[in-house]
Amino acid sequence: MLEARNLFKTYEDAPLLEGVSFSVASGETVCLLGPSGSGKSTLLRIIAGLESPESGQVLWEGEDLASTPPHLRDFGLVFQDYALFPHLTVAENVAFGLKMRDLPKEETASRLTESLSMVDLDGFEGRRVTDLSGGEQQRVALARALAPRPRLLMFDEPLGALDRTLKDAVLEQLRLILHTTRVPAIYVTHDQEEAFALADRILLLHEGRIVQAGTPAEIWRAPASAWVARFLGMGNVVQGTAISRDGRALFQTEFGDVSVHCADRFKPGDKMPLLFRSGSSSPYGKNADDQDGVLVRARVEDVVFDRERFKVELQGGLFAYLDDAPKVGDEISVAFQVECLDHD
Amino acid sequence: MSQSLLRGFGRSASRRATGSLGRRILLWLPALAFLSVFFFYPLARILGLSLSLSVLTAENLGRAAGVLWFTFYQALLSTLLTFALGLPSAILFARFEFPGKSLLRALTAVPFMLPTVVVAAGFNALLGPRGWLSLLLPAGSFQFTGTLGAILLAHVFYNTTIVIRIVGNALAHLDPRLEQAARTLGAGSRRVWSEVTLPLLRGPLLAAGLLVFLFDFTSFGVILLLGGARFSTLEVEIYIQALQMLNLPLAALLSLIQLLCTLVFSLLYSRVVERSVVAIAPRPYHAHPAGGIVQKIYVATLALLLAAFFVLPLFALPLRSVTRLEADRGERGAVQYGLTSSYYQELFINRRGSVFYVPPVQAARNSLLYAVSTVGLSLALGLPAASALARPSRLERLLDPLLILPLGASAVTLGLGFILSFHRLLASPLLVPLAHTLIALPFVIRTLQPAISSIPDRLRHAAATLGASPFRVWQAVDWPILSRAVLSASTFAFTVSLGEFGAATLLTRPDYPTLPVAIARFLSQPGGLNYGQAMAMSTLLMALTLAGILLIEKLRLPGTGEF
Repeated sequence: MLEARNLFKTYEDAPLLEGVSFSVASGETVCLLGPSGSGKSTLLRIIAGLESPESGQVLWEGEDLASTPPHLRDFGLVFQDYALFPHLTVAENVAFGLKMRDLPKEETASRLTESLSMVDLDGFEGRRVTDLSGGEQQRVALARALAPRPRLLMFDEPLGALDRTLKDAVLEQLRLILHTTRVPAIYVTHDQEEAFALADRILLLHEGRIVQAGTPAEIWRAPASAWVARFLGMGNVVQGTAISRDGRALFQTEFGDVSVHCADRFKPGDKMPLLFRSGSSSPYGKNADDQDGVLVRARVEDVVFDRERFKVELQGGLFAYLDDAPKVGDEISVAFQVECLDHD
Repeated sequence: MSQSLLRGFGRSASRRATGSLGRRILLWLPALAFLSVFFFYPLARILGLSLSLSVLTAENLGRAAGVLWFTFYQALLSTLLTFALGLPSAILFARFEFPGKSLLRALTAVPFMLPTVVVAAGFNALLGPRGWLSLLLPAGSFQFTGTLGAILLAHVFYNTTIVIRIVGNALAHLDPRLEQAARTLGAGSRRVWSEVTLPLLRGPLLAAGLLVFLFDFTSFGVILLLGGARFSTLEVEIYIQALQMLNLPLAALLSLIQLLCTLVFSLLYSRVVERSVVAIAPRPYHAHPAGGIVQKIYVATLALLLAAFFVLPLFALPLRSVTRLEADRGERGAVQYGLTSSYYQELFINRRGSVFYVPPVQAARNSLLYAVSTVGLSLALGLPAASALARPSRLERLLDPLLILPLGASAVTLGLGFILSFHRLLASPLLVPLAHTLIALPFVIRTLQPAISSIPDRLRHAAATLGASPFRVWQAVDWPILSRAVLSASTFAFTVSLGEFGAATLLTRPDYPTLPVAIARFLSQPGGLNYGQAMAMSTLLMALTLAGILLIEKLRLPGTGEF
């Protein structure tokens, strides 16, 4: 439905988007995930028509939108910090888009009620938006974007200002709404938890390019680069050098020689980043090839409680997620599953 | 001139009062005593005189009603015209980036701080019967001075900057995402304006409108000098009734009406300022160069128009003061053009040898003396009051509004009050600096107070624990910070006194004129030489005032905004 084709944009003479292409299918939720400054908000603003790309196209069902101004695109956008109209009530805010479309009164009233109840804000019609809590404002912004029933919904870091509990609740609500309305959506965030919770497909944006695209499971199973593995906090990235011993292809690392099945593809002497994941940090670890692994024995330097597990820092710079907490100073053995990362 | 006063609004020092009640009363005493004698007493005289039954005749009330109507009419018209220029300019400065922007913006603020006689002389030099335009157009083909148009133009010239500052600042701080949100919700650019931008600017628009109206309502010098006495606004009529008709009771009645109106507008203004919630802007609007042909034309046309409008009168004046544009007296031959310094040389000569004729240089000397006295007096009264205000207690919060009150009374009303109260002193030249002190005092206090409260007590305590005596503490800690504010306040009082016209014109004796009074006198007399001398004096006054403004700008404490 929506297609972005080879978008380029610079900001203050520095490249911001360097040829971004992707598409969003009917009913699909796509998350643009990337660190701050990766150009993801700009990408959203280009799709909304608030900024124009230096080159490239935004198409809707094959039709170029370059000459369509934002107010005729019929794309809803939920802003970071919401951008609610402070001079209007909750109802006036939510009905704004309906008013702009000059809908009949009864239609406006019924859609207003419907949108407010979708975000559990029944009865908030007459409230001033400046009197609402952050979470309530967030939901008004969502209802405002939903009310005109746009053909595409976009979210620009919409949960950034909320605390964790509130975030989880809104995320749950958002999932439900996106699934029931089946409206195609683009969701921009730097928070991988939000992306994993919502996305049908994730696009990882880094330095103006999409470095990996796939379902959350695909990306978690096979990170495309060392940067992706580090950004998502999947495990330790360790430099390896390909060697050949006894006819077997191995990687030499500072933590010992490692056998990885992908080592066959390299000539001795090739350098390659490797991902060391401890058993429980990889949900697929149990099914992976047992051959691809290494046992590291090291002293425990620090133990951090991390909900249902412990993050254990080891001497030498590796960390691992373990179910039981060792004592600091203990020497323990940890099994790491090792995967090839195709590049930095 | 009200800039630094307005800057002071809403500033409330948060620190608790220190010092005994006795000490604080002592700090307040000079300013309060001064205000009681020279403001409240004259005010009471005006009140008493205007409310006597003999004044409230049908004839007087009818006259007052007529004057009031015209005052409203011209103020409303001026305000509308000011917005017609100011609103597009506010958008220009808030939304667009263009070469020379900050210079142009500064330029638009200059007239606001210039004395009325200078502005009147500037427009006279450009559009008056002896001005530059008369060279281009055949004589008698147009008339500027003595028309309502002249008054309106000068008011627009004065007050456009208010709209640019108040509305432009609000516009620049409007969160751009509110407009973007409206666009993504289906609003075209016109509906974005009507549904989002304008409603959000309601407060600043109202505030600017009230302020402009207030200044136009109380305007005096411009109306008298460019319009003439036949355009009788309240101010002009008070002056005429008091000085020419010697009808003091009617003048007092008009003053009372004027005071009441000003009070109502000021109250409305502070209500609007209090209640206007400017949209929160985590990221202010990013001004950008004009894109597209329509925007480019808009920016170019408006910037050029503004530059012409604000540059021409200011340059016409000094140029005219060194240019001979007409035949000399007695020679009815060809008009001579050329540069001349004779207007300046004449300033020092008493050509008529008359006892009552005062050479302009004498007027300049008077003005300087008055200005210096005003500085001394307002500092002596203002410093203690400002120290008390810097750590406000309930006493200070109660007394604070009293200090602002003199600003609500126009200079002409202050002058009238002095005439009524101190008629025995009228022969003395003392009254003018006293009146000027009344006008300057609120500004002086508002300049000193933030500086004093900005000095952290920790510094004083640190100095004291290091062995400094109280005087040494003051010398080492307070004075270095305070001296800038004192210099700034002094310059302010100086320029206010130098350019003040309304009170001076009521209070000066014929043989003791101030510079603005002398300029007005020379402007109203026939002859090219008199005109040239008026131009020369106005140029000097403008130069002095501009120097003062520049000094104040340089001294401004970092972090104190405008308005």
